[in-house]
Amino acid sequence: MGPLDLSITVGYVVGVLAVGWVVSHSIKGFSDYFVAGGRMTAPLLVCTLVSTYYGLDVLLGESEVGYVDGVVGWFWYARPYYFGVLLTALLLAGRLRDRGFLSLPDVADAAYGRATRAVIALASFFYSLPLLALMGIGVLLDVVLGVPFVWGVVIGAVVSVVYTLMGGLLADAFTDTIQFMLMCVTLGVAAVVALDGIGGVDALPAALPASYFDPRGTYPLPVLVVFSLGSLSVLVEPAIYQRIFAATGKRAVYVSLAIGLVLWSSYDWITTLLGMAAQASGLEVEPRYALLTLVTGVLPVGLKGLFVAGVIATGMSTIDSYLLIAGGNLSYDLYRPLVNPSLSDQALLKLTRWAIVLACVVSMALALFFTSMVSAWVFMATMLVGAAFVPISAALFLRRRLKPAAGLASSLVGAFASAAVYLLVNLYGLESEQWGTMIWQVSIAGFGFDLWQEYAVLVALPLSALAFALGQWLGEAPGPGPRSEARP
Amino acid sequence: MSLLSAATWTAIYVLVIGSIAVFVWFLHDARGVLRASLQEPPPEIPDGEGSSDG
Repeated sequence: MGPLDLSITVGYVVGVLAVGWVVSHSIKGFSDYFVAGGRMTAPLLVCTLVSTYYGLDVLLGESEVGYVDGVVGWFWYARPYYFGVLLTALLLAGRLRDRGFLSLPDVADAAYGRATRAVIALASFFYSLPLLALMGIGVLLDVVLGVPFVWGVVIGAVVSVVYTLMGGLLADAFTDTIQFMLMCVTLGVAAVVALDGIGGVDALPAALPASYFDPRGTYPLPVLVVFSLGSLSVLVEPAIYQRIFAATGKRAVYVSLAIGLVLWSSYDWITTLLGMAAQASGLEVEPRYALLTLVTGVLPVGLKGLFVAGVIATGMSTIDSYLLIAGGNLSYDLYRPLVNPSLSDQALLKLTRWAIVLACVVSMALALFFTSMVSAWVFMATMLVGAAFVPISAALFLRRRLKPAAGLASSLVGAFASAAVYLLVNLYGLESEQWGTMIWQVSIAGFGFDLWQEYAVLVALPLSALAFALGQWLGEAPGPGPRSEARP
Repeated sequence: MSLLSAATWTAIYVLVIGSIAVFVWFLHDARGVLRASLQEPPPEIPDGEGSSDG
């Protein structure tokens, strides 16, 4: 990168820190810090939802699928998430807004008590550790600036954590607005330049096999169904819940999810096409870096700096939001209700800031330790869905009185079943070069089948539902009186 | 123009123009939010109300 590109990138980072400093003056208590005091309006919500939920895993992961398999990623991986978002808007948003919660574990606590709250808080904590985004920033700084990977991870983490510590969700959301526009506009401009470089979109069919344009690609149908089931995670997504709680009202949530849906689908389509364009242009790189290599190779001076800033923004907007949630899981969801219920609001705020630092350190350590982050992500997402989907859905939709044993059994069984399948597949399976995932060839009484690590959710959800039914049937009815206060 | 081309150009226009429009909407809205944030915590706003709920 030349001096101009470098100046643009550094200027962006300094600007983000300045916003965090300005907003830090408005923080007066935990609610201000964690859910922005319920002050998030529709445009602020659109920016923070779009930029938080779409990180480097989407940018690099979807372009990777486009590079290797074509449009199947958009149809079977991205598109089901839009239905998840629609369900969230239509079925969840209103119910969540009516109850005065601050976090996903609050929902579990109100229905089942503190034990279930603790299990779901732990699942949410591990899910929220931003390993992939930190690793992505490390790779980006290595590719474009020659910064060693370890230092890239540290720089990304330190900058993100500093402004999150200062201003909490409001600083996070305000910086998300800049990051939102940067990541969207730079991707759009990069697409125009990169597609022009290969002779336009219409040149793709001649340069790529027909399977690249088949919505099912070359995947077996059961695998595609499992990919689609990943969209269930939207219904228990801690960052989306936090933003629903932080909104000024239901209408702001509906409007922002509707606009977000349109922007997300456009973003997904472009990243998929850029992966395909990288393949069509003859680039021979590791699939995950196809988009970065293609785009940074064709953009002129100035635009390249903006694009790099946009990619950093894509990662940082995810890191800061999820660090905030992970920190809140430790302090607000676990420590205060389980260890020190009389903790004051100011002490909770201080503890949350320390918890964010701890979450950041754990994330950095794991980002430097793991070599295959895709496997780590599959594990974390499956754990969250396994632990939270059944009890949270029941808490929000079942009208009957729920028993604490039902919530605890379903969350524990779901989490352990997810972990067990994942560990077994990774212990006894082999990495498939064809599909890029771990597969265990199981043979029982002469009947054989392939167990993918992604199938964990197919085992965990039915077992979690069964455990819930048993807990509801055999468990003791909850005692009279309120279990816990949702608001601090 | 092929379907592929139409879908791609639509996505590019929607992403670029849409994000700029939302950002301008945010800037217009942010003056009030920031002013309120830097002064006193706002009163409770009932659902469905507020200056920029949509």
